[in-house]
Amino acid sequence: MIEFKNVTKRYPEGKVALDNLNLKISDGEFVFIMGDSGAGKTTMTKLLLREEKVTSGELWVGGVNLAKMPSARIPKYRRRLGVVFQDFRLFKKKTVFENVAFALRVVGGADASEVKSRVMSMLRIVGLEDKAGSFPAQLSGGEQQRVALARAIINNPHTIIADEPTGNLDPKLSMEIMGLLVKMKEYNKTVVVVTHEAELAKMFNQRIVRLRDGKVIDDSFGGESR
Amino acid sequence: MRRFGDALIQALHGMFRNGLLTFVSIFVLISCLLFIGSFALISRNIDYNLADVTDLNEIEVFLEYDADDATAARVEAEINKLDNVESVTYVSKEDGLKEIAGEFAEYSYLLDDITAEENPLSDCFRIVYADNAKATTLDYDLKQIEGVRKVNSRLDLAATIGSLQSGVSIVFVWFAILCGVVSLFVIINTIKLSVYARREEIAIMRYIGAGRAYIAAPFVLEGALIGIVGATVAYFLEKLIYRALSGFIVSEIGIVKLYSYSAMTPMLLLIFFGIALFCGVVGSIVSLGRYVEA
Repeated sequence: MIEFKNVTKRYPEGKVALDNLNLKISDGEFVFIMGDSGAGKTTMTKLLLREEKVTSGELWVGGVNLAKMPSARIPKYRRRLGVVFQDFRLFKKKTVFENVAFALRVVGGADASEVKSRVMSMLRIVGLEDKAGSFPAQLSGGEQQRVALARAIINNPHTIIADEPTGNLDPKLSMEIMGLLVKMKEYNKTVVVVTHEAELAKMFNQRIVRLRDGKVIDDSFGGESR
Repeated sequence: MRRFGDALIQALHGMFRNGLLTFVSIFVLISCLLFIGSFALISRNIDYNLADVTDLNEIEVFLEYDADDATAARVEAEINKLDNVESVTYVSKEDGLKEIAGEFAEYSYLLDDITAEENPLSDCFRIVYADNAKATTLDYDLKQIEGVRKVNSRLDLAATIGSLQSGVSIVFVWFAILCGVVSLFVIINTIKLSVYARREEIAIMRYIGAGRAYIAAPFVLEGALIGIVGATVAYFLEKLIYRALSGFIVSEIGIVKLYSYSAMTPMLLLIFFGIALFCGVVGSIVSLGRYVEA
């Protein structure tokens, strides 16, 4: 469960990015977070990744109040999340296999054969098992984003956060990636997708939360008000 | 073990990626270590030669004129209890007179009329002490012993030797600190470049949940490797320089004694690797700064 309770985020220069925001996302739910530029979407992502701290209020993720979490616990917390970015953020000098395996190695505890079988199984889920030895530069944008998704889910996170995952992709590849993210519901993952592509979001018939000036202005399912 | 191997490979990549700056770092470190090492060798050899001078560090303790054997034994026992006393030799007033007669043999007639009963000397102890810096305290303590009439010491000489030794030590320590700071500064900049080149990778690692130690390990190892290479080269260069110079000094200035290089190897290894590893590891940690913050 993710819960924003009266969350306000004010940056040092005085800009209020989130203004007394309240929002609940249940376990296993898929939510699109939408809004114009400056609505507070990126700040929401940063708070969920604990890259930024709330100014006031409470932010609960999986039973942990991020507002009070000490810095030393952040790496461990992030291992329970899967993150996908618009720019993929892959290691350019590592192969597809190594990129995905890296997330597993950071957490540790898996021997070489387990790493191999888990990485290959993730690549199967995203349809890239035949590209394991390729480097990111040899892949299309959609394929790179699928590698990022495989890396995001390899540690079996309870929540996947995708920040504009289709921002660099053409419509066909965008559909493909969104389809994969929606598929994550089948694996009982909570998925939060930040996007500004309203039409694409509507096509998947999932919960859509709209932000404006740091506040929730609409919370609907597939575009229909709840 | 695998993590260490990965970190080591990344550290080596970092060293080669920053080729020129890595070379400059190692070069500056070697130069600083050579300065420090040379100063340490000079300092140790000065101490070694001053040790001969300290053989003159002797105090004479004269007993009261009427002191009997029991008093002499008690005073000797009390002297032996004092700190900084290396050896105590008893010289009776008769032996003292004989010594004077021996030293001034050509004027021995002046002493002819002095009988044992008229001997103007008193029994005394000659004390050799170990540490010049504590000579004043010993002098004071000796004067407090009951039955002691007079204490003759060479405190001025002791003070000069002491201040010379501590002066050399102070200059050495400040010199070492200065060289350490210069090396540290250069290494910090080298590792900063490495960190900057890999800032995107570091950001990915942070999002994936890598801890500080995991992110920092390759950079700390890179700093440590720069330190190890610098210290090893400096050690062997110092050996060559010392052997060449010591051969020249011993042949040209015969009275100077010099330690062999092997006798000072443990000290030099400790200084070189201690300073080099400190600069390398601390330099890396400082360079990482905000990049490893969650």
